[in-house]
Amino acid sequence: MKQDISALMDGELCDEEADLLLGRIRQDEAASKDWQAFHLIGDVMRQPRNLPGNLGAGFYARLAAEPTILAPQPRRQSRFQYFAMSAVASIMAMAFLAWFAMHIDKAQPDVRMQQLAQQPASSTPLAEGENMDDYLLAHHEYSPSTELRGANSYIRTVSVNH
Amino acid sequence: MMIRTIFTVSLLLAAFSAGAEQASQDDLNWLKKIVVATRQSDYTGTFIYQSGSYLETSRITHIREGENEFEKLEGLDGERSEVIRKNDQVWCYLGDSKVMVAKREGARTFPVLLPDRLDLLQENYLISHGEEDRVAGYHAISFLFQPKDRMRFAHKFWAFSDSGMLLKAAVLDENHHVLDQYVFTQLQIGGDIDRKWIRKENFAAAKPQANSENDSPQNLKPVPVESGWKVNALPDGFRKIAELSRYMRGGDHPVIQLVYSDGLAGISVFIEKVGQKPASRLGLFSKGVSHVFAKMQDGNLLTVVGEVPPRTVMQVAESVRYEGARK
Repeated sequence: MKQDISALMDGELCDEEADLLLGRIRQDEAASKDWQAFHLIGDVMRQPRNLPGNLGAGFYARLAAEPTILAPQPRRQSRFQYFAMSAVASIMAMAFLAWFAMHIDKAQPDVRMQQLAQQPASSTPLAEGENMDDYLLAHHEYSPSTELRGANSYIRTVSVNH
Repeated sequence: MMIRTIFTVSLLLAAFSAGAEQASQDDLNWLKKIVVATRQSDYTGTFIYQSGSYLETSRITHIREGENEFEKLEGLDGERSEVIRKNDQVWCYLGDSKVMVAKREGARTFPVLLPDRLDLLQENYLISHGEEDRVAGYHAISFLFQPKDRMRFAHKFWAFSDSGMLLKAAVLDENHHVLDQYVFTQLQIGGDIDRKWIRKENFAAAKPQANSENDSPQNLKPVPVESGWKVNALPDGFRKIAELSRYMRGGDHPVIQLVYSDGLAGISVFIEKVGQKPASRLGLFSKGVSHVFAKMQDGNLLTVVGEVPPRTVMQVAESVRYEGARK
């Protein structure tokens, strides 16, 4: 269903399919929420600074109930502990790690988030050190985007910091 | 007569397609030139990195001396920060302390765009050279990588028309809005560039890693494995480039990482057993051009990361299956 909605929003469905799906969205509350959430995601992607005003109080309420996600995680570890991370795959990745390590200490909100409506809100606090940035970092060690951009590639990690 | 017409038409078609291929080959040669120029030239310059409303300025100096490649990256905003690199060794300066970040044993050649990588690029992107432009005072030629489907972003590169030095790079969404970009605002290629910093002692007596937890699992290198995990609905054109078992920072259990590439964008799938422990962060996240989708599946936490649109990470996450060890 979610993939269908995504396809619909991308204009990938034919008219009959689209009509059928829109009908289902109107009747199915969960699907309707998905539809709204997907559009919200799209809006946020396109214009992160101009969020639509009619998001629905529910979204803000859920967002407010997610303190652990938007609040920066205070770093109690030594900054040097970062350098003890696992061996990396390439030169660029090392530079990437370095750049990342220097910026992580500023302890600002990390991953900006667009929570899907259907995901249950969890109030479990994040464990020390648990962080989406770790996944981004581990991914970038191997990503071709790191390689193609060559010497300058690791600047993307700067964004880890904002 | 009819046969002759058909013959002529086929000849024309053949000539046309050959011409199209040739143009594309030129573009590919340009790409190689960009990679070589950016790694082989001496240059120093200031660039801006922009992602959404975020902006940061840095200075980069790159020196090629004999077989050695030196690089210095300084953050110009906020707290002082500096990274220097000699070939495969990287050091950080944080205030007054210098720390060796990483060192790779054995020589490693500089990554280049390999022929098979270029084929992969052509499979998934329409590569065309676009308008001429001026960047940081240099005459630039632009190249657009237009994805052939909606599962990846468009990429655009601007290169100095003379040497091929990369001057600007941007990732674009389907409406060609810039998602993130970096651009040189000032650049000096060749000529008199400060080389004092590449003197030996800067790269010699660095403290080893400050933490001597060398035996902790986090310091173990990722090792290749055959995990038995598969992505059943991988978008067209993505190929697996790595399958690893690794430890995440601070983690005490191994995590499986599958890495896929279409030549420009990458997708990683992380699979870790968390049992009934509720995973605290599920859903869709974004950071610049990178998107993350996390979900639980039978006691496993699946986290999909990539420089691809949200629908791509979601599609991948929904199709991850354990198919057991290979028979």
